[in-house]
Amino acid sequence: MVIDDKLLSKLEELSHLKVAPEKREEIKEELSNILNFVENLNQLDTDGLPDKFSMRDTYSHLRDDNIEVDKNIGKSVVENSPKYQDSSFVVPRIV
Amino acid sequence: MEFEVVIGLEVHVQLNTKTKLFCSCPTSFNEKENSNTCPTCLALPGALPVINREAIHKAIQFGTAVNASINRYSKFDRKNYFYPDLPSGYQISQFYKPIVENGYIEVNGRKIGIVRAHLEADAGKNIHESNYSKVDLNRAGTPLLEIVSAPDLRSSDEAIEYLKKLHSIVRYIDISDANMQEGSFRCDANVSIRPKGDTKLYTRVEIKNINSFRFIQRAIDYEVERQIEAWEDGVYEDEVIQETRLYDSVKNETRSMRGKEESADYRYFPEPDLLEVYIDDETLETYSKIPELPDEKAERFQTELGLSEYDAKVISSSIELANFFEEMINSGASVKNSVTWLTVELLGRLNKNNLPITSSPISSSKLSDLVKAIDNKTISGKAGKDILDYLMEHDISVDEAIEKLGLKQVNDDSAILKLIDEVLSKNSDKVEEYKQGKTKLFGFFVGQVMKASRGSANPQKVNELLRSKLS
Repeated sequence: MVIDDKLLSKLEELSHLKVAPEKREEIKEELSNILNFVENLNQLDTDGLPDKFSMRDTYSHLRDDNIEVDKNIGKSVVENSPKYQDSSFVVPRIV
Repeated sequence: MEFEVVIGLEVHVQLNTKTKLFCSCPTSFNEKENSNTCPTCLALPGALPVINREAIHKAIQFGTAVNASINRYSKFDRKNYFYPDLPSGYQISQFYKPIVENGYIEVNGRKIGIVRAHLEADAGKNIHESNYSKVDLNRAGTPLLEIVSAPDLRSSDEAIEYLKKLHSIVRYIDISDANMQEGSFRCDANVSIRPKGDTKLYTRVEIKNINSFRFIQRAIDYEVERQIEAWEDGVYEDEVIQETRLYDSVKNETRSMRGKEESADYRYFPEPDLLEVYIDDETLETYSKIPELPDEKAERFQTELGLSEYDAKVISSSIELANFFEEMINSGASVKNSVTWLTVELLGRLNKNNLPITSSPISSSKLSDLVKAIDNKTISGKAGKDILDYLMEHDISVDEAIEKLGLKQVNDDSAILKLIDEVLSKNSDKVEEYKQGKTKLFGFFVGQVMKASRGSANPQKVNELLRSKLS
């Protein structure tokens, strides 16, 4: 699969990242290479195999519904954020 | 042209687990901002999600209640988008393999399909100030069950009936507080129209941000009107596009929310931090046992207690009301009087004060005492109403209220006869007229005796004794 300018622009928009003009060609090529690499997987014949999301044969571990919280964690994360007020994070106005 | 309305609803129910879906932080409401957080729900690098078993149990209970299949294997996926209340930049949800599929509930005799119900983590909250926004992540990671109906609903009335039924069910099986004001029961509506008789689905518009039954109805009605108008004006193709619209309850209108649909590309993919969820036989069996549902209760009220279909439906509409009623019956109040005194007298007074049954100043045992006093004729029905009014304002027992208001019904023949004698001697001229044939004066005498007793005499007794006295 080839990443063209149009697709790269869409990816920029979705990822909220800006690719510098002089970097575009390089990035396009790198992304195309990654996709081509992954396409190797299509060589495998998976017909008749059940859908699997993981290579492991176990299932998710479930946790009991018991509260465990350290109130200082939230506080210190807030205080380490670029901008905060009282105990809330502050971000540019959204709406 | 005649149109048919096609509505599908997505309901987000906040599960009442003690902790979040993927970490052990509490889900409690109204706490100091960001105090119920940890590396997992703050999405710090390296923190991993671990599924709360209780959320799985509640999803099984819900699936059972809506006649659905429970998927023994389900899976979580990432839904990617950017918003400040979503610290990881993705929501963990179930896209490809939801835990619950293919159910239905009955609404006024019609089966309304439930396509799926899946577990997902809620986002945090943004508080908008004049030129910045504050972010509180206490809610981030709270378990939600998103319940998606089929596009089976044909009017806003039916949509509301469906929602009320769903609301009642999740309260009955106790998987959510389902409080609309606090946001633990939220609804998005997908609305489209089509010419009557047409079977294809036309462009649907999604309406978000509606937090009461009344507003949902209004939002749907507005949107249907807007789409029909666009059709009739020949601008349907231009004005009705697949988009998300926000309902503004102040202006009573919906308006376009997202300009660019590009951002709605969620790029779902399997959550690499979680394995499949497997529900074993024992878990499935344990949590498929659910309490009696509203329809079953209504049915039982009719067959066992002889309630009318209407009364049975009203009382079973909410678990709190049904419990209140059953507590009254269990403590010995008569069925007939319990129905009337609960649904007409108490609910009438609560509605007037905008109080839900859960905030009733009169408990089920108190109302039961009142009904029993009426059952055994200690007080008259009329006196009962005065006592109920008094009890709405004063926290005393029924006996104390009867005493205080002097409303004990007089059943004692001699006491009533004494009042009758007084009334008759005071109105000897009227007694004369009565005896000469003006029999309609009988009502006047009854009224006078009742008045003399300040309403406390048993009216039946008064009638009887007066009749024999005057004959």
